[in-house]
Amino acid sequence: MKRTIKLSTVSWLLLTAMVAAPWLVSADFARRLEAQETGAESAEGTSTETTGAESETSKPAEPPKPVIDKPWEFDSYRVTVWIAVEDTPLLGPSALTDLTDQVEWLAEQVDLSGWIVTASLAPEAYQGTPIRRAMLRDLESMAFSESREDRLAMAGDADKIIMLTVKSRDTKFQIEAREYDVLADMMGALHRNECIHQQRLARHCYRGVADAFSPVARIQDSDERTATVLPRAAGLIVVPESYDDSWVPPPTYIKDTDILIPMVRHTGRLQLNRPEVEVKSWTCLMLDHRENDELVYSVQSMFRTPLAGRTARRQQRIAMVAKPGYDHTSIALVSTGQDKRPLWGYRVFRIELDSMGEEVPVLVGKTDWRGEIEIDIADGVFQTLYIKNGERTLGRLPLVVGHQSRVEAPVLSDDIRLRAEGVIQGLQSQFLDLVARREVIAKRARYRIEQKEFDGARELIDEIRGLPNIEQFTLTIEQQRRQVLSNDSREQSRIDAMFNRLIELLAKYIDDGVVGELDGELRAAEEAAGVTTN
Amino acid sequence: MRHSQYLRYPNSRRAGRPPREVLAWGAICVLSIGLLGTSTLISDRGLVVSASAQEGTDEGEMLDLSLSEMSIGEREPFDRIYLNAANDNAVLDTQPLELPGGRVPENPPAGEWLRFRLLDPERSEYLYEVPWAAIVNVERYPDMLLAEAKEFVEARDFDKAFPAMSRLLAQYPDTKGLDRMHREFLYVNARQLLDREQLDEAIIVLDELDRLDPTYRPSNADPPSSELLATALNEIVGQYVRDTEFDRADEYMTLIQAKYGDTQNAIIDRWKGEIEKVALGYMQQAQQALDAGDGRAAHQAVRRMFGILRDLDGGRELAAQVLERFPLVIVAVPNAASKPDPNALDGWSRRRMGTLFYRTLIEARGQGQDGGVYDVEHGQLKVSDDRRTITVEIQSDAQDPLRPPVGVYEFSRRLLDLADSDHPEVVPAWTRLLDQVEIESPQRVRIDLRFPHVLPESLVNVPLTSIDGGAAPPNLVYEPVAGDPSDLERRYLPRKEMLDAVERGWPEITEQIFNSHLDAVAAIERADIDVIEQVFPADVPRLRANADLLVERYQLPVIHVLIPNRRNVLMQYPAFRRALLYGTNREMILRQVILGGAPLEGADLVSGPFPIGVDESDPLNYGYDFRLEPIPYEKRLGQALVGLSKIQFADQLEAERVARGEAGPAEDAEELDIELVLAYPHGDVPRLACETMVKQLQSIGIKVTLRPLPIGETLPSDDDWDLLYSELVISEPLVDARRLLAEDGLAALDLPPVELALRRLDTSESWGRARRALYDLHMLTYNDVSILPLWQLPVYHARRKGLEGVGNNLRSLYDNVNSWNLVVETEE
Repeated sequence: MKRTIKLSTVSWLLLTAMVAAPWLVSADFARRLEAQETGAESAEGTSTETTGAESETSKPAEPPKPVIDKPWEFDSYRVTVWIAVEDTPLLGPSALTDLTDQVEWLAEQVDLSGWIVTASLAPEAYQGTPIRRAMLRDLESMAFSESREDRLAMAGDADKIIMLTVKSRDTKFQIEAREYDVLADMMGALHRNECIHQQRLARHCYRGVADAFSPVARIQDSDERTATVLPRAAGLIVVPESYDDSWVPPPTYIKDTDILIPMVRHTGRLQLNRPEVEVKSWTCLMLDHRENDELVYSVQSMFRTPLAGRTARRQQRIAMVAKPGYDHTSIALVSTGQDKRPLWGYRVFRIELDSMGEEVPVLVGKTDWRGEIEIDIADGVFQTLYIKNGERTLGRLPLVVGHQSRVEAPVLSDDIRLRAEGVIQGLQSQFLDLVARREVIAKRARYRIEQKEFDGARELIDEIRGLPNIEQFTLTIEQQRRQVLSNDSREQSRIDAMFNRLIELLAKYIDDGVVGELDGELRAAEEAAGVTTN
Repeated sequence: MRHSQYLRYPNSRRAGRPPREVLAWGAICVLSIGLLGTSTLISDRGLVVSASAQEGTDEGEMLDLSLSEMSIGEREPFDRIYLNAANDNAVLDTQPLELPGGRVPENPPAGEWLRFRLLDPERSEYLYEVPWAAIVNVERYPDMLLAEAKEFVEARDFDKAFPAMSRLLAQYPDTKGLDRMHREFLYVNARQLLDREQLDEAIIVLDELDRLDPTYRPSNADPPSSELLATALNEIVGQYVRDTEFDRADEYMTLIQAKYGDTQNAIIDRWKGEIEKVALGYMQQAQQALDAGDGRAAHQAVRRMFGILRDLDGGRELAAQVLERFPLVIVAVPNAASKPDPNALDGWSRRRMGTLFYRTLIEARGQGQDGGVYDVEHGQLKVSDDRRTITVEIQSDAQDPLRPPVGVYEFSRRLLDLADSDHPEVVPAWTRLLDQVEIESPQRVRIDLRFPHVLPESLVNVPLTSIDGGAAPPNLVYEPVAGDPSDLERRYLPRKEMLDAVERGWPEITEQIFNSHLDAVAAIERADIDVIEQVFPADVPRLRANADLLVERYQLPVIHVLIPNRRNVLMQYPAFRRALLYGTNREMILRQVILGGAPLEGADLVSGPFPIGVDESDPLNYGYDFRLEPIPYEKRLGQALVGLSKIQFADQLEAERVARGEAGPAEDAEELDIELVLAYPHGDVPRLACETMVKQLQSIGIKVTLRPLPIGETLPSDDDWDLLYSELVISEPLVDARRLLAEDGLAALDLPPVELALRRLDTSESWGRARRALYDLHMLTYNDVSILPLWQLPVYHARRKGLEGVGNNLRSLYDNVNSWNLVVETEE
């Protein structure tokens, strides 16, 4: 199919410069990987373009190999847009051509250099994997070949493939778009929009592309709480020196409000038990501030140190903007460990700010029998959720709502601890009653002694004697403790702590000596009154 | 008195005067006079010591009465000698004379002397003698006593006459004139009682007189005693008839016949005739109403007629006509139901009305050894051995226009709705269980479950269609007649579609709400009503003894609880909730107030929200942990815990002040006055129990205001209550536990350990696990006092034998309402 590329003069100049550059964008991505692995400056390094003097000083010990990568910040995105149009009499035979042309043109208008968008008809299939029909049937659940190599080969030299479908429904057109990022080997969320007027179809298709496109950044450095990233093509994207809310940034630009999902790409030999790309689950990056081209983010994570430490040589740490495409995300809580069980009835809270600016937890709901709960995007794209079971907080989940339709969160199952909590509460009640009862009877006994009603006093002292003492109550506690044993050592230690605290209280508030004291007081009173007793 | 020259002292001796304060003179004579229950001890010195003083106090009232102030009967026996003028007409009171033969000689021998000792204590040791010639008269004690009695009788002072008479009859039965005096006494006394309309007492007196002499009359102008007796009997029977207590009149006439034989036939004949006239009057009314087409009036009149006489000529035939043309059953109920639901948890009345109006998807047939037994109408329900498949077969061609077979599609649709999280009637455990529903044929549905469950069919024992809180139109035989919800009478008629579909009639059902169980009992005994739907427990023995009634127990007991509303901060403290239990003497309320002192099987205190069963073999108690004893009544401990709660509350307020940044320590706060609002549904048991609890809680420092709910309501419409008296019907603990204890359940508990136990219950794959989960729930609610358990009561209904087809072993009165049939009662 003949393709017409219309470029402005500036565009031509830049393109020429790129071609003349010593880096060669190779279609063989695997070879580049190999090159990186064998000692070329890794992804965390700066540009490998050096002056001769510099290259002499920083030259590695081994003979230098030709470095073919561009500097990250000057590396435009190569985006392939596959368009599949459903057969409809509303669209003529030239519709596809028009669409592809206009999508490319619009992309160029929006961002001349940050990305290079190439639009075309979606291929029928690739190596036996149907593409076009699958896109039209169900883009949301579409998957490519299971082989990473096949996927890479299919992508060619593209960094991203954006699949776009156009269907007519009643009098409208439904546009769906979904991205496949080659570097992260990840499918993005499905984005939908509708078009009523055919003449605006191309714009809506472009909008689909823009919605689906997720900018990528490279994590330069990080610790427990922060991460510094360098967006791809940051040096190419034109950003006004000062701008207000009316400025519409290009899709390649990472906005202040964008949330990034970090991931690690292992660049060494692929191991069968380890995926190439490891998404740092339940970890998000939120912008703190900008430093020139770099962005400094705060790390929000369920884990303590998801990104701390230096990157290994065979790892590439990147982050991708999370683009919500769904109205909600279902979270499925499952127990940690090998035996994954859905966690039913766990409560999920999110934090909101009240009118005073104080953080207050707001109950979102409880997980159902599948351990699932739906989080609505209407309450915020980014939500920090807290998982509680009983009084204890079990986890903190930062979530970009709508980025995925369903996510699974491993949470420690502490049902046994909760059961222990109920047992402890019961024992506390019994304990309180016991203490109160002893006090009441002791007071009555003393009163009787005062009133010289010695027989009555003796009865009451016997009553106290008949109540459980420390030893007996401790036995009760131990019997109950044996009913709540956990295989998890951490959980068991928490349970033990609860019981031990109760035993401490027991020793503090129950005085077994009170019976002896009362006996003594009674004897003394009787002697004083001249009463002889057996 | 002075010593005369004629008194000789053959045996005189002087002795020291006895001290006046010595009380022990002779025997102390005790005379009981039943006046206001006070006994009086009378000593021969005239010291009156009140019995109340003797019982309770250390010192009694000591009243010195002179002998002259005492009546003859109050004094020790003595005699009296009247001397002649030569002896100054002296009158000497002496100790009882020793006379030959015990009599005063009519012609004492001349020259003989009469020896005596004076009564005067200063001279009583001296033996005196006087010649008979100087004696004008000798009065013996019995004679004096008799004379005194006569005086009292003439003065109509029978209270004083009675002891004199009693003494004469007991000690001096041969006193001359006593017999006549006795009769006169009885006669005059009876007349006075008759005049005062104290008929029962008059009968007692006349009975005694009748035994002595039925013809006695003091004078010819007076009627004989038999006539007085007849008057009294006539009046008594007449009063019963005027009060329309015809049963009692009849009983009394039987008594008269047995006691007096034919002597009072005139009375019996008269009043039987009167009674028959009244009955005939009602019979005429019934006939007129029947002719006019006024069924209710005809019923009323027939009931009245039968309440008077069952064997009136033509009465039974007329009654049969009325029953045939206007069948009507009147049911006494303690409460109505604004939201009928055959499966309601709270409110027996809700279930009753729900059973009358709505079909259920699956029917509970009874209690098995492992939970309830469930089945489908016109079909069969089977659960596979692995408990993962339910198969339902429905005979779609079954001919039953009243309860046509449910179509497999409708059945399946309902099952799916119950598993739909967005459906208002979702059953969470069913959502988890249901995997798929497959219609295998027009008669067969297969239900596959994701997991095995111990009793999966119990989860879907719900109305066949959504009843919208009882607002949906009925789909059974009866429908309500529109009326004012506050009315005490509600009518239910068979639906026209049912009447068209089947050629038979059903009685109109009228429910009458009684504000007092005593009125209901009286009404059923009068045959004004046919059924008491819930018999007040204390009335069960009495109704059982009535040969015209059948009294039976329902299958399910009711658990009575108090549900706390945690809107009140104090209710959030477990110590305070326990204080309420410690401060309430539930044992006393149950045994004395509700059961009336008589035991009733199945009635007992409970420590948790699950039934204990009506006896030990009742399998319904599978959820109850008998190791947990009810919290006992310990008032002082309750007071202590109330005090503790006040401290906790004050501490909480302080902490909130600090959190708000309010500077400075709190000033001494005023003593917290605790006031609670206790809401309860209409009915005798809740009302009496709550009224008693108010007083008990007052004594531990908690003021309670009662809030009776409107008729038909079991839940307050607003949040202005702190405690709610609730009558729970737990038919299946396995399922009902969640309906009661979950956060969205009746008790609205927000306790994670309880939620956990409920989840374990919902996922029970064996009865062992289910029981452990239920025991855990019992223990958790017991320790936390999440709800305040009171007692379990078995529920009885009583019906007249003229209502047939009711069935037995009922779960609700209307279980077999389609088969109800009215017949004319036969007298046994």
